[in-house]
Amino acid sequence: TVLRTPTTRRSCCLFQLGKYKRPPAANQLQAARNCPPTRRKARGRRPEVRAEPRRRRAPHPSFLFSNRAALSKSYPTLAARLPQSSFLADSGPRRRPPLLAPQPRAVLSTRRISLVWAATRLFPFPCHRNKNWAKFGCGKIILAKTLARLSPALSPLANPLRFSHSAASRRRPPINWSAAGTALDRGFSPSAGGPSACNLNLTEMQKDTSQGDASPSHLGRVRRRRQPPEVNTDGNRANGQPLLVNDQNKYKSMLIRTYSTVWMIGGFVLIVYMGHLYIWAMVVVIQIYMARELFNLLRKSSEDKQLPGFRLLNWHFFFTAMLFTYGRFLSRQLVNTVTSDHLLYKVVSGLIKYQMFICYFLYIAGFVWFILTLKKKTYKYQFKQYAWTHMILLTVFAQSSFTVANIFEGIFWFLLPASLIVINDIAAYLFGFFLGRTPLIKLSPKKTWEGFIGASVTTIISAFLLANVMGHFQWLTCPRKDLSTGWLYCDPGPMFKPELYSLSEWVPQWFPWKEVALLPVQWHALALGLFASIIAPFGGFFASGFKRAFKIKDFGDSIPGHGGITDRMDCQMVMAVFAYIYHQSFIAPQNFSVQIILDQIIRNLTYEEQKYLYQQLGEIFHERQLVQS
Amino acid sequence: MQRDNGSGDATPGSPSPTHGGRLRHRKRSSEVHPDVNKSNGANLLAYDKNKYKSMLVRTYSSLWMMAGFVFLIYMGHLYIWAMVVVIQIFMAKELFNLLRKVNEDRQLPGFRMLNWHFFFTAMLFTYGRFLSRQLVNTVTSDKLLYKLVSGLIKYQMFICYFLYIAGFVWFIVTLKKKAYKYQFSQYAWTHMILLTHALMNCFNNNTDANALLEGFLLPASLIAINDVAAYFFGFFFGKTPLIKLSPKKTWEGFIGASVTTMLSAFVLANFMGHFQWLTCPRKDLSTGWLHCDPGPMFMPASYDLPGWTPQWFSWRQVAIMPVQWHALALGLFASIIAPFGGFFASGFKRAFKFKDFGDSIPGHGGFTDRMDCQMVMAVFAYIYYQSFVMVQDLSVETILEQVLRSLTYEEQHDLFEQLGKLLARRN
Repeated sequence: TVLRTPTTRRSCCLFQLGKYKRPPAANQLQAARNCPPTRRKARGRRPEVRAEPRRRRAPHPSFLFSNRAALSKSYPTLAARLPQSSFLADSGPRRRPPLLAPQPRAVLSTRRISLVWAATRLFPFPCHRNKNWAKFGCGKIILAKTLARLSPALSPLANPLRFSHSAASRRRPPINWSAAGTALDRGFSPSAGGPSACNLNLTEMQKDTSQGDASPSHLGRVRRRRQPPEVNTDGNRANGQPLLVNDQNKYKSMLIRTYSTVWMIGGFVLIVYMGHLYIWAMVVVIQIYMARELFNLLRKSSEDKQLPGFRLLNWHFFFTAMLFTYGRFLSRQLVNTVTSDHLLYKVVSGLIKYQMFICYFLYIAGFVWFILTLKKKTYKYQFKQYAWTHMILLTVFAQSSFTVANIFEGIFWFLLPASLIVINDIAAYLFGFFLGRTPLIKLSPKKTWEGFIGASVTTIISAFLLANVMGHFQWLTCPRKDLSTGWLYCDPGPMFKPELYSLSEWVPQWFPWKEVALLPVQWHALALGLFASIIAPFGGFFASGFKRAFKIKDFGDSIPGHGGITDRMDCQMVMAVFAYIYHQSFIAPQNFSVQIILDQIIRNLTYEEQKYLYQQLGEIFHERQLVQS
Repeated sequence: MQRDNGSGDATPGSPSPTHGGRLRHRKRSSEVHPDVNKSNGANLLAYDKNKYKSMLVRTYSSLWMMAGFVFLIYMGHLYIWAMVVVIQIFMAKELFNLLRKVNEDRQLPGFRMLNWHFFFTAMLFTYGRFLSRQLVNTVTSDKLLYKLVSGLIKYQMFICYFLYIAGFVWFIVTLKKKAYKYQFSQYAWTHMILLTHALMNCFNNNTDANALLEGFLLPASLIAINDVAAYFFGFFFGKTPLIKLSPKKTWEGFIGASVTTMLSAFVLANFMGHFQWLTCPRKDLSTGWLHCDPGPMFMPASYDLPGWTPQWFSWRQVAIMPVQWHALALGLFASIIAPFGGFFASGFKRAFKFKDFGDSIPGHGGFTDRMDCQMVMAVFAYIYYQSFVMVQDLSVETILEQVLRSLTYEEQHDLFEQLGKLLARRN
């Protein structure tokens, strides 16, 4: 519901469908009668309208309070200060009582809106400098809408009919909004036969709308605003939902998105609390979903029908890869878990010993299967699918095996990178929303330099702080060497021992803290933050470029409001690999090879052999000491 | 020309009726053939002269290759390694050029370089690991070079990742609106090529980890033997087509080649097992002569021949090395599964409608055409060795040697203490 006066063909239709509260003036009606057939024509007409003298813009209808008395009940000072034109009921003799009986809820929402209105008066947002503001109706409205959204049923924005006072809407029967929405979409699509429907309604509307006032200056305004963001329209089209028009949709999707985000975060925290094994399970589940989405992406159903079992082949490869990656982890962890000489142990260790061979055998079986099912007409399709399967396995498993490795090095190394990515995303969104002006990259026109830089700073700072917080929990910092889920105790490594830095020279006298305790790992966290803010977004660019190249909107629809899981994981993948490699190269190398050799010893030697090795090593050291002394 | 033909002994329409009948008959008997010939571009039967000429060229270049190969084997591990690298580069070149479209490339300067950037990053990654193991053995003193090299090795993974990410960013920054799809498919294709690169690399892992014989020479020669045998058996006995994908292959050739390969694997392993040059592993980057105690794999064990051998047979016992049994497994794989690598390649060629992967080897096509089965085999040999051969001889001595060789004093002490704790806990 964009409550403006109709100008273009699009808004004409909106107007006819009753989306406009304010009935158009006579000259506008004239304009609406010959609804411009295309937007270009509407643009061509602009100078005409602009030639009229501009008046000060009237308050937005959503800010018109029902009457001064109602407002002054709750906010007497504000009510006294507001100009007369801010009140619907008092503004003229022709105003009529509200459409529905006044309800206490309406007062509530009025109060809320008035608060926001006052706030926007106090903080005028520079809408002419930021196209994001323009998108939401020039600054004032955004906060109002956001807040009003908190109680959707009450808000006049969400439910315009209920609060509408226009004669037009009073006389007409209520409108079926969903039908209207689809009609609108149809009407505005460049190809469909929308205009006829438009014109039909228009004649009916003319009767209703002869009374009522509107400012022609609106006309020019709206049009001007539509034109400038050339890039935006492109982005909107790619995203499938034009932001400006379907505001209601937008807020609905935002709400859904927020809900599912909250759920995801809640689940995530619970899983982190539960421990390493559960995180691993989560990674596996995510993997399966991702693979499903990606497998489905480039599939053509017509070709698939001719190839029964081809889909199964993909999953065969998937589970082979899974066995391969996780078998190695299992081998390392299980040996520590099952130490006794049971039958199970022997079976498991046998499986582990030949794990690589088994996986290779399975892969080769899939390979032969693939070649035997090649069909003449679909060679190219099948080979492409084969390559695609391999690419998927490469991305999904490279990422997840690193993630799992990180988890067993300590949840810290998994949690910190993941949360940094999330923080970076959110910060980039907020910074871009409020300050964004300069587009960053053509690939995703919504990203701005301001968002990028602001997010970088935020991410690096929060990396530094988060590392300190997380570093104090043994649950997060201790590596897990077996498959148990119990509580962890360990000696925190030198990375997590706090060191004191004195601040006395830098800080003024009144500052209470003279020293800060920093963990050495915080410096490493800075590097992680740097990467998360500068390089990891390229994972997102890659994904969006990919989506654009193959003309898909989302990778899937697993998470309501977010698209597929792959959409959320694009940056995480890049980050997990970096975190693992960084950890291996700069943090863990000291006892790396010792651990490997010890693993080898435990896995391959019997108890007697181990004892023998121990004795021999002891003898060698003894000799060495003799030589030295 | 027409006049010449006319004045000759036969009219142009019917040079020799029987021959013509033959030709036609042969064409009819294999329905699939014309299709193949069309896709391969050379109509084998019609241009007899061409056929023999190409066979000659092919034989020449095969001989050259064989000679070069033997020479390289004689030269040693390092040279074989270099050969594999060269083959890898050629293969990458062929494959990069394969799916490239000229007019799209013109709009994207530097995109080709990006491919090579990724390739050399992968190279650095794989060989860096290989070098790290070998170089530490070669350069033992505490010189500046050693420190430099060991520093590089320590951060090798990070450096490679950094290079990869640089390429990744480069790719994204150079994305152009009109060519999104082309660029993304090229990117995927590059990664697929790198995958084959990784497969080829198994050869080097083999020569790195173990003797020339098990890891390199035997698998490679088995594939060659299988190819040749399949060709000959198919040529002389071939009747039943094996698979639609490559209609020239026949069941007879397949089975005959399998038997031949198995037998020759068994025999070749025995023969090669007597050369220390082939059986000793090499642990550093030197190229000198090798002396080692042949492992239990190469110790001949005598088996009594059962009583049913005829009286005139002079040998009552045969000396069989344990490695021969492993060679049988390799032979089995080389004859049954590895041809599928070839089927894959020919299916791929057919799907994208080209004849050869390249023209590097005269008469053979590109390197990739020759390497399709070798890659599958190399991976198998590597994995087979890792799972069935190597684990068994991981004894106390080898581990002790590893400990003393690759750990510092402090690390050794650390290991000693940890092992002590473990043993104590078990008691």
